[in-house]
Amino acid sequence: MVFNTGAALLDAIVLSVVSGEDTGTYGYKITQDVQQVIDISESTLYPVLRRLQKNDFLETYDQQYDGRNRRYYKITGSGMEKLNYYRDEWRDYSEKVNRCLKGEWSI
Amino acid sequence: MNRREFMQQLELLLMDVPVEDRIDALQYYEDYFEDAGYEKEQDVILELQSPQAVAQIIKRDLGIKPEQQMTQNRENQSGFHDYRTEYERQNSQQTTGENSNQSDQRQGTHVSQIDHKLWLILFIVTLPITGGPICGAIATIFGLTVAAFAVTFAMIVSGGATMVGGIIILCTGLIAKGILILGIGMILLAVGLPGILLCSLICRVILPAIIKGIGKLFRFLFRGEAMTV
Repeated sequence: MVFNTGAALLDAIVLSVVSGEDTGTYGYKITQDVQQVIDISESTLYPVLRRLQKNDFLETYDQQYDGRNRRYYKITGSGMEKLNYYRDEWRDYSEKVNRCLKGEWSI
Repeated sequence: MNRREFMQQLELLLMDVPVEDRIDALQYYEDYFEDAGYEKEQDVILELQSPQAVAQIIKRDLGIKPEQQMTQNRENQSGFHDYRTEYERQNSQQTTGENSNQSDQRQGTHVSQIDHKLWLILFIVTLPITGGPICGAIATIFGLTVAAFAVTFAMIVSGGATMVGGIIILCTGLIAKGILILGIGMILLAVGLPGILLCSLICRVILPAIIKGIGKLFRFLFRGEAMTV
Protein backbone atom coordinates (compact mmCIF):
# COMPACT_ATOMS: atom_id res chain seq x y z
CA MET A 1 0.00 0.00 0.00
CA VAL A 2 1.65 3.20 -1.12
CA PHE A 3 -0.98 5.54 0.35
CA ASN A 4 -1.05 6.36 4.04
CA THR A 5 -4.06 6.09 6.30
CA GLY A 6 -4.45 9.11 8.58
CA ALA A 7 -5.93 9.03 12.07
CA ALA A 8 -9.31 10.40 10.96
CA LEU A 9 -9.66 7.85 8.16
CA LEU A 10 -8.71 5.03 10.53
CA ASP A 11 -11.37 6.24 13.01
CA ALA A 12 -13.90 6.32 10.18
CA ILE A 13 -13.06 2.78 9.04
CA VAL A 14 -13.25 1.42 12.59
CA LEU A 15 -16.57 3.17 13.26
CA SER A 16 -17.95 1.85 9.99
CA VAL A 17 -16.83 -1.71 10.73
CA VAL A 18 -18.33 -1.62 14.25
CA SER A 19 -21.56 -0.04 13.02
CA GLY A 20 -22.01 -3.00 10.67
CA GLU A 21 -22.75 -5.26 13.66
CA ASP A 22 -26.04 -4.41 15.33
CA THR A 23 -25.33 -6.37 18.49
CA GLY A 24 -21.72 -5.26 18.73
CA THR A 25 -18.45 -6.90 17.79
CA TYR A 26 -15.16 -7.74 19.52
CA GLY A 27 -11.53 -6.70 19.21
CA TYR A 28 -10.21 -9.66 17.26
CA LYS A 29 -12.99 -9.50 14.69
CA ILE A 30 -12.67 -5.72 14.31
CA THR A 31 -8.96 -6.15 13.62
CA GLN A 32 -9.64 -8.86 11.04
CA ASP A 33 -12.29 -6.72 9.33
CA VAL A 34 -10.14 -3.59 9.29
CA GLN A 35 -7.22 -5.60 7.91
CA GLN A 36 -9.42 -6.56 4.95
CA VAL A 37 -9.46 -2.87 4.06
CA ILE A 38 -6.10 -1.45 5.08
CA ASP A 39 -2.71 -2.72 6.07
CA ILE A 40 -2.56 -2.14 9.80
CA SER A 41 -0.63 -3.74 12.64
CA GLU A 42 -2.64 -5.64 15.26
CA SER A 43 -1.31 -3.47 18.04
CA THR A 44 -2.39 -0.20 16.40
CA LEU A 45 -6.08 -0.88 16.80
CA TYR A 46 -6.37 -1.03 20.57
CA PRO A 47 -5.55 2.67 21.20
CA VAL A 48 -7.99 3.62 18.44
CA LEU A 49 -10.81 1.62 20.05
CA ARG A 50 -9.92 2.98 23.49
CA ARG A 51 -9.95 6.56 22.24
CA LEU A 52 -13.25 6.12 20.37
CA GLN A 53 -14.67 4.63 23.57
CA LYS A 54 -13.42 7.53 25.70
CA ASN A 55 -14.96 9.98 23.24
CA ASP A 56 -18.31 8.17 23.63
CA PHE A 57 -18.35 7.09 20.00
CA LEU A 58 -18.18 3.46 21.07
CA GLU A 59 -19.54 1.71 24.14
CA THR A 60 -18.44 -1.61 25.53
CA TYR A 61 -20.14 -4.44 27.34
CA ASP A 62 -18.98 -7.81 28.54
CA GLN A 63 -20.81 -10.96 27.60
CA GLN A 64 -20.24 -14.62 28.33
CA TYR A 65 -18.78 -16.50 25.39
CA ASP A 66 -17.32 -20.00 25.56
CA GLY A 67 -17.20 -19.88 29.34
CA ARG A 68 -15.40 -16.54 29.58
CA ASN A 69 -16.12 -12.85 29.44
CA ARG A 70 -15.68 -11.29 26.06
CA ARG A 71 -15.63 -7.53 25.57
CA TYR A 72 -17.96 -6.24 22.88
CA TYR A 73 -17.86 -2.87 21.16
CA LYS A 74 -20.99 -1.15 19.94
CA ILE A 75 -21.46 2.18 18.18
CA THR A 76 -23.30 4.94 20.11
CA GLY A 77 -25.64 7.65 18.83
CA SER A 78 -22.88 10.24 18.73
CA GLY A 79 -20.60 7.65 17.13
CA MET A 80 -23.18 7.24 14.39
CA GLU A 81 -23.29 11.02 13.93
CA LYS A 82 -19.52 11.12 13.72
CA LEU A 83 -19.55 8.27 11.20
CA ASN A 84 -22.07 10.06 9.02
CA TYR A 85 -19.92 13.17 9.17
CA TYR A 86 -16.87 11.13 8.12
CA ARG A 87 -18.88 9.53 5.32
CA ASP A 88 -19.90 12.91 3.91
CA GLU A 89 -16.37 14.27 4.19
CA TRP A 90 -14.95 11.16 2.56
CA ARG A 91 -17.42 11.35 -0.32
CA ASP A 92 -16.36 14.92 -1.10
CA TYR A 93 -12.70 14.17 -0.68
CA SER A 94 -12.62 10.93 -2.66
CA GLU A 95 -14.70 12.41 -5.48
CA LYS A 96 -12.22 15.24 -5.86
CA VAL A 97 -9.23 12.92 -5.76
CA ASN A 98 -10.91 10.53 -8.22
CA ARG A 99 -11.68 13.32 -10.63
CA CYS A 100 -8.17 14.65 -10.39
CA LEU A 101 -6.48 11.27 -10.85
CA LYS A 102 -8.73 10.42 -13.78
CA GLY A 103 -7.54 13.61 -15.40
CA GLU A 104 -11.01 15.16 -15.36
CA TRP A 105 -9.96 18.04 -13.18
CA SER A 106 -11.64 21.31 -14.04
CA ILE A 107 -12.28 24.43 -12.03
CA MET B 1 7.75 -16.60 24.24
CA ASN B 2 4.25 -17.86 24.86
CA ARG B 3 1.02 -16.06 25.55
CA ARG B 4 1.33 -16.31 29.32
CA GLU B 5 4.80 -14.76 29.36
CA PHE B 6 3.74 -12.11 26.89
CA MET B 7 0.81 -11.05 29.04
CA GLN B 8 2.82 -11.11 32.27
CA GLN B 9 5.48 -8.86 30.76
CA LEU B 10 2.84 -6.56 29.35
CA GLU B 11 1.21 -6.27 32.76
CA LEU B 12 4.56 -5.37 34.35
CA LEU B 13 5.26 -2.79 31.66
CA LEU B 14 1.88 -1.17 32.21
CA MET B 15 2.40 -0.72 35.94
CA ASP B 16 2.77 3.05 35.57
CA VAL B 17 -0.50 3.31 33.65
CA PRO B 18 -3.71 4.27 35.52
CA VAL B 19 -5.33 1.12 36.83
CA GLU B 20 -8.51 1.49 34.79
CA ASP B 21 -6.57 1.85 31.54
CA ARG B 22 -4.31 -1.06 32.48
CA ILE B 23 -7.21 -3.42 33.18
CA ASP B 24 -8.90 -2.36 29.95
CA ALA B 25 -5.78 -2.97 27.86
CA LEU B 26 -5.00 -6.33 29.49
CA GLN B 27 -8.59 -7.47 29.04
CA TYR B 28 -8.39 -6.46 25.37
CA TYR B 29 -5.25 -8.46 24.69
CA GLU B 30 -6.46 -11.46 26.75
CA ASP B 31 -9.62 -11.42 24.61
CA TYR B 32 -7.50 -11.03 21.53
CA PHE B 33 -5.40 -14.10 22.23
CA GLU B 34 -8.48 -16.06 23.23
CA ASP B 35 -10.35 -15.19 20.03
CA ALA B 36 -7.33 -15.79 17.81
CA GLY B 37 -7.16 -19.30 19.23
CA TYR B 38 -4.32 -21.49 20.39
CA GLU B 39 -3.11 -22.28 16.85
CA LYS B 40 -2.54 -18.62 16.06
CA GLU B 41 -0.88 -17.76 19.37
CA GLN B 42 2.61 -17.50 17.86
CA ASP B 43 1.31 -15.55 14.83
CA VAL B 44 -0.27 -12.99 17.13
CA ILE B 45 2.89 -12.66 19.25
CA LEU B 46 4.94 -12.24 16.08
CA GLU B 47 2.56 -9.62 14.75
CA LEU B 48 2.45 -7.72 18.04
CA GLN B 49 6.27 -7.77 17.99
CA SER B 50 6.91 -7.58 21.74
CA PRO B 51 5.23 -6.63 25.02
CA GLN B 52 7.46 -3.54 24.97
CA ALA B 53 6.11 -2.45 21.57
CA VAL B 54 2.50 -2.97 22.67
CA ALA B 55 3.06 -1.15 25.98
CA GLN B 56 4.74 1.66 24.08
CA ILE B 57 1.76 2.20 21.81
CA ILE B 58 -0.70 2.11 24.73
CA LYS B 59 1.36 4.58 26.74
CA ARG B 60 1.90 6.91 23.84
CA ASP B 61 -1.84 7.08 23.35
CA LEU B 62 -2.30 7.92 27.02
CA GLY B 63 0.37 10.59 26.77
CA ILE B 64 2.92 8.83 28.97
CA LYS B 65 6.61 9.53 28.18
CA PRO B 66 7.19 8.73 24.52
CA GLU B 67 10.55 6.97 24.09
CA GLN B 68 12.36 8.10 20.99
CA GLN B 69 14.11 4.90 20.05
CA MET B 70 10.98 2.80 19.78
CA THR B 71 9.28 5.42 17.65
CA GLN B 72 11.99 5.30 15.05
CA ASN B 73 11.97 1.55 15.12
CA ARG B 74 8.27 1.46 14.30
CA GLU B 75 8.39 4.13 11.66
CA ASN B 76 10.62 1.97 9.50
CA GLN B 77 7.70 -0.33 8.90
CA SER B 78 5.82 0.50 5.77
CA GLY B 79 2.11 1.18 5.66
CA PHE B 80 1.23 3.11 8.75
CA HIS B 81 4.16 5.42 9.03
CA ASP B 82 2.04 8.46 8.40
CA TYR B 83 -0.54 7.28 10.87
CA ARG B 84 2.11 7.18 13.54
CA THR B 85 3.31 10.66 12.90
CA GLU B 86 -0.23 11.97 12.80
CA TYR B 87 -0.87 10.17 16.00
CA GLU B 88 2.13 11.69 17.67
CA ARG B 89 1.14 15.13 16.59
CA GLN B 90 -2.31 14.59 18.02
CA ASN B 91 -0.88 13.29 21.26
CA SER B 92 1.50 16.15 21.69
CA GLN B 93 -1.49 18.42 21.24
CA GLN B 94 -3.41 16.54 23.89
CA THR B 95 -0.58 16.78 26.35
CA THR B 96 -0.08 20.48 25.75
CA GLY B 97 -3.80 20.95 26.23
CA GLU B 98 -4.62 22.44 22.85
CA ASN B 99 -8.27 22.50 21.87
CA SER B 100 -10.10 20.66 19.14
CA ASN B 101 -9.93 23.69 16.90
CA GLN B 102 -6.26 22.98 16.46
CA SER B 103 -6.71 19.32 15.70
CA ASP B 104 -9.03 20.28 12.87
CA GLN B 105 -6.02 21.75 11.17
CA ARG B 106 -4.66 18.26 10.71
CA GLN B 107 -7.27 17.56 8.06
CA GLY B 108 -5.27 19.42 5.44
CA THR B 109 -8.00 21.61 4.00
CA HIS B 110 -7.57 24.15 6.76
CA VAL B 111 -5.53 27.26 6.39
CA SER B 112 -3.46 29.03 8.98
CA GLN B 113 -5.53 30.17 11.97
CA ILE B 114 -3.88 33.59 12.02
CA ASP B 115 -4.53 34.09 8.34
CA HIS B 116 -8.26 33.50 8.51
CA LYS B 117 -8.61 35.51 11.74
CA LEU B 118 -6.95 38.49 10.04
CA TRP B 119 -9.45 38.22 7.20
CA LEU B 120 -12.29 37.94 9.72
CA ILE B 121 -11.17 41.12 11.51
CA LEU B 122 -10.77 42.90 8.18
CA PHE B 123 -14.25 41.77 7.22
CA ILE B 124 -15.84 43.05 10.45
CA VAL B 125 -13.92 46.35 10.53
CA THR B 126 -14.76 47.24 6.95
CA LEU B 127 -18.37 46.10 7.31
CA PRO B 128 -19.81 49.65 7.77
CA ILE B 129 -18.28 50.63 4.42
CA THR B 130 -18.54 47.40 2.50
CA GLY B 131 -21.87 46.43 4.06
CA GLY B 132 -23.85 48.82 1.84
CA PRO B 133 -22.41 47.70 -1.48
CA ILE B 134 -22.62 44.01 -0.41
CA CYS B 135 -26.31 44.35 0.49
CA GLY B 136 -26.82 46.35 -2.70
CA ALA B 137 -25.20 43.67 -4.82
CA ILE B 138 -27.30 40.94 -3.22
CA ALA B 139 -30.48 43.02 -3.64
CA THR B 140 -29.58 43.76 -7.29
CA ILE B 141 -29.09 40.07 -8.06
CA PHE B 142 -32.37 39.27 -6.32
CA GLY B 143 -34.17 42.09 -8.16
CA LEU B 144 -32.84 41.06 -11.54
CA THR B 145 -33.90 37.47 -10.90
CA VAL B 146 -37.43 38.53 -9.97
CA ALA B 147 -37.54 40.87 -12.99
CA ALA B 148 -36.44 38.11 -15.35
CA PHE B 149 -39.20 35.87 -14.03
CA ALA B 150 -41.82 38.63 -14.19
CA VAL B 151 -40.92 39.71 -17.74
CA THR B 152 -40.88 36.13 -18.98
CA PHE B 153 -44.21 35.40 -17.36
CA ALA B 154 -45.74 38.62 -18.72
CA MET B 155 -44.48 37.95 -22.27
CA ILE B 156 -45.85 34.43 -22.36
CA VAL B 157 -49.23 35.30 -20.82
CA SER B 158 -49.79 38.45 -22.90
CA GLY B 159 -48.45 36.72 -26.04
CA GLY B 160 -50.83 33.82 -25.51
CA ALA B 161 -53.77 36.11 -24.79
CA THR B 162 -53.06 38.33 -27.82
CA MET B 163 -52.89 35.27 -30.08
CA VAL B 164 -56.24 34.03 -28.77
CA GLY B 165 -57.64 37.54 -29.36
CA GLY B 166 -56.29 37.54 -32.92
CA ILE B 167 -57.93 34.19 -33.66
CA ILE B 168 -61.27 35.43 -32.32
CA ILE B 169 -61.03 38.54 -34.50
CA LEU B 170 -60.14 36.34 -37.48
CA CYS B 171 -63.26 34.29 -36.85
CA THR B 172 -65.44 37.39 -36.86
CA GLY B 173 -64.27 37.98 -40.45
CA LEU B 174 -61.85 40.91 -39.97
CA ILE B 175 -58.98 39.03 -41.61
CA ALA B 176 -56.31 41.76 -41.89
CA LYS B 177 -56.85 42.98 -38.32
CA GLY B 178 -56.94 39.39 -37.04
CA ILE B 179 -53.65 38.40 -38.73
CA LEU B 180 -51.97 41.57 -37.41
CA ILE B 181 -52.99 40.86 -33.81
CA LEU B 182 -52.17 37.15 -34.14
CA GLY B 183 -48.71 38.17 -35.42
CA ILE B 184 -48.15 40.54 -32.48
CA GLY B 185 -49.10 37.73 -30.11
CA MET B 186 -46.61 35.37 -31.76
CA ILE B 187 -43.82 37.93 -31.46
CA LEU B 188 -44.53 38.41 -27.74
CA LEU B 189 -44.51 34.64 -27.22
CA ALA B 190 -41.29 34.26 -29.23
CA VAL B 191 -39.59 36.81 -26.96
CA GLY B 192 -41.01 35.18 -23.83
CA LEU B 193 -40.04 31.55 -24.50
CA PRO B 194 -36.22 32.04 -24.43
CA GLY B 195 -36.88 33.82 -21.11
CA ILE B 196 -37.75 30.40 -19.64
CA LEU B 197 -34.28 29.20 -20.56
CA LEU B 198 -32.75 32.31 -18.99
CA CYS B 199 -34.77 31.77 -15.78
CA SER B 200 -33.76 28.13 -15.53
CA LEU B 201 -30.13 29.09 -16.09
CA ILE B 202 -30.39 31.60 -13.23
CA CYS B 203 -31.98 29.05 -10.89
CA ARG B 204 -29.77 26.10 -11.72
CA VAL B 205 -26.37 27.68 -12.21
CA ILE B 206 -26.00 31.32 -11.25
CA LEU B 207 -27.88 31.43 -7.92
CA PRO B 208 -26.39 28.17 -6.53
CA ALA B 209 -22.91 29.38 -7.48
CA ILE B 210 -23.44 32.68 -5.66
CA ILE B 211 -24.88 31.00 -2.55
CA LYS B 212 -22.06 28.43 -2.52
CA GLY B 213 -19.52 31.22 -2.84
CA ILE B 214 -21.01 33.15 0.07
CA GLY B 215 -21.09 29.93 2.15
CA LYS B 216 -17.44 29.24 1.39
CA LEU B 217 -16.49 32.81 2.29
CA PHE B 218 -18.20 32.50 5.67
CA ARG B 219 -16.73 29.08 6.36
CA PHE B 220 -13.33 30.55 5.60
CA LEU B 221 -13.87 33.58 7.82
CA PHE B 222 -15.37 31.80 10.81
CA ARG B 223 -13.98 28.28 10.72
CA GLY B 224 -10.75 28.68 8.82
CA GLU B 225 -11.54 26.18 6.07
CA ALA B 226 -9.59 26.73 2.91
CA MET B 227 -11.39 28.42 0.03
CA THR B 228 -11.48 25.90 -2.78
CA VAL B 229 -13.03 26.57 -6.14
